Amino acid sequence: MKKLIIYTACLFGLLSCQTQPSNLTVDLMVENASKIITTVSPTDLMKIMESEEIFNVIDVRQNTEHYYGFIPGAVNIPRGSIEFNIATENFWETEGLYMPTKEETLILYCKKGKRSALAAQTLMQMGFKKVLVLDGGWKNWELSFPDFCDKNLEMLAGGPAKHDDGGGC
Amino acid sequence: MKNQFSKSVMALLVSLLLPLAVLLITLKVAAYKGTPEVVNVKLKSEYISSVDHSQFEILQQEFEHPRDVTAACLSCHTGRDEEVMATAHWKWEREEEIPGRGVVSVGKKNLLNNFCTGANGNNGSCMRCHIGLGWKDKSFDFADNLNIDCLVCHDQTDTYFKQKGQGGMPATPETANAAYQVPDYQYVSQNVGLPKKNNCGICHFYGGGGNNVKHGDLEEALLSCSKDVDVHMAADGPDMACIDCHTTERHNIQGKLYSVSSANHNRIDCDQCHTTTPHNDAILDNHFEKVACQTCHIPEYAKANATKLYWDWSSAGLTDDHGNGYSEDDADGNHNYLSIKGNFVWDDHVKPEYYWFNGTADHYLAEDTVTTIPVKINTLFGEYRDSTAKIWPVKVHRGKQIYDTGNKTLISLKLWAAQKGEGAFWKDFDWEEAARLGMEYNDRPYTGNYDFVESEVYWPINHMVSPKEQTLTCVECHQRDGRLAGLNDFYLPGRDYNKSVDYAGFGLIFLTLIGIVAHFLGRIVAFFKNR
Repeated sequence: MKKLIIYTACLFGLLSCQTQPSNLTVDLMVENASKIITTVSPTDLMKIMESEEIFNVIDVRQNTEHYYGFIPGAVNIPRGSIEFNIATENFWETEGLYMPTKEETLILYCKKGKRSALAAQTLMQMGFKKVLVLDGGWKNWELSFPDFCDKNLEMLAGGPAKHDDGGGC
Repeated sequence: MKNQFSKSVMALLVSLLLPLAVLLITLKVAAYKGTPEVVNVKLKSEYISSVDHSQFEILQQEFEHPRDVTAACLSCHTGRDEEVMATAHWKWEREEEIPGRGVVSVGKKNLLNNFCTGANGNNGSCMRCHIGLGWKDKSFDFADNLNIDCLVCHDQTDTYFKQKGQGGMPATPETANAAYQVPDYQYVSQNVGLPKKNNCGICHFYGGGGNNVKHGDLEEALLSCSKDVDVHMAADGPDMACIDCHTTERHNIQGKLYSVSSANHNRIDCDQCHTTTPHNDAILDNHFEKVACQTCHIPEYAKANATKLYWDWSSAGLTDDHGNGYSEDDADGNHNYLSIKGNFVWDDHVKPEYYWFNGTADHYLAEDTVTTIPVKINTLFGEYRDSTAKIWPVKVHRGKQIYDTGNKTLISLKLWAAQKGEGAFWKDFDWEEAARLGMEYNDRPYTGNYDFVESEVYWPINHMVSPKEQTLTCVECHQRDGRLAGLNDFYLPGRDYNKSVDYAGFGLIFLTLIGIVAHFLGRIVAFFKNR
């Protein structure tokens, strides 16, 4: 009987010590993330944007992708820095926005929806309660609302003009 | 007592093992996959000519004009001119019966589209893809067999090109420039053979003004691609040429373009090589009745380079501070604004849309009026109840194009001219003039009032077949929000459901489980009671 209890305890111990799988492919990672995230269609996102709801649309692509076309009003936080910037006051101040609380709606998008699924999973792990992912990403938005897209022409032209305000000679 | 106990144990084992055995057998049967048939065909592209054209005296002359080359070709290949001149490649139109319209003549010559709107009137640019020599205007003689350009399809040297802006003529000493030199006709004519991929691709890859703009599944990557892009044309696979599927008889090439063809004949099908039961698996083979092979085997298109999915002409014509046109790119380096053409949306690795299609199509004809928005440039016929229709993967190109608000007709634009001041939109950015001249050239009435209207054109997908490992899995379609969510005129297992039936089913399962548990408990109680 004693042995049985020890064996059972060992079995439970082994099961509870199981670590996260370590050889996932990116497709599997996205698939796993997709199971827990909530997606939103471009039409539904437009409804949110037209509503009174407090929300932030976050473009998780690289800024070199963002400048070429983005959803008007979207904040660009590349996926690589989202954990650091999402709850950093300075970042949001620079964007001229209030830092979102964990109860506010965050809508994430990337080019097609894979990077944003992974980023959404991360934000959910960080405690953000209402994270949505734009189904099909920027490409789906561009095709659904081609007349409601923006570009950062200033940055595409090399950024703001550099002024030498040093004075003197 | 002991005997009764062993009987009970046996009964318990049987009651456990039997369902388990049934379950395992069911899973085994469900997991069965047949071994697909192996295709063994002799490829036409492997054909080696038995003739050395360089030995022919007539091809050793110094040709001055491509028409002279044609004359030399026809001096041996007698009668071939009549074959060529009977084809759609020459006529750019064919008579076909469209349900509800009767027999009409349709083709690139007279159809409108929502890319560059139409070829007729923009001959200098568009007719570069005609197999004739110099269809620059209405004076082109379709009865003159020396206007046939044999070399554009049969050149094996990759040095023969029609010059841009010359209506299908190669460069001449007067027009030659850094990009286009006068071809070495003697060299090219001595090196001719069956068309290679790039003979076809020089036009079919670049339709709409650039690589992969129109088709989405036909582009220059197919010249040397991996199996992931196309199993048939893969350089590391069978490396098939276009003519291996698009077989040809008397210069009539099989396999018409669905977006400009109406009747269901002269098509090519996968089952020409693969048979109608290629999977060796009854369930998969049964899909052949209602699902085109392409639907499962081309899960996405534009696998190498992006294709245009949206084209908004209404924003065209903006110029910079100096009055010149300009361009902007998207994040992938594709133009998404051109002053001469407007805004675009490109995408790669695109999931097709799915429609019923029985092989016949209707088209917006020049005399048609705009009655519905978006305007359907072509309409694919078919529905579930149509026994000849199958579910097809389709590229849908949407956009906004110019139309006559008075006559409610789509406008044929004059886009191209060699220089400014001739009223071509691409040079002068003047909508009024481009519309007036385009309609005038096409002998169509125009009220002078225009606006832009949404339109869409449907391109069934046929190329970029994936390796079998990448074909669609069952659940891609057999689920509630799967790929076929838009096709609602039939019952699809796994997708469609009825709440009452579902509740009834679950209720029966629940009652069965209660019965099993009650029976089990009854047995236990009976066992101990009898003990």
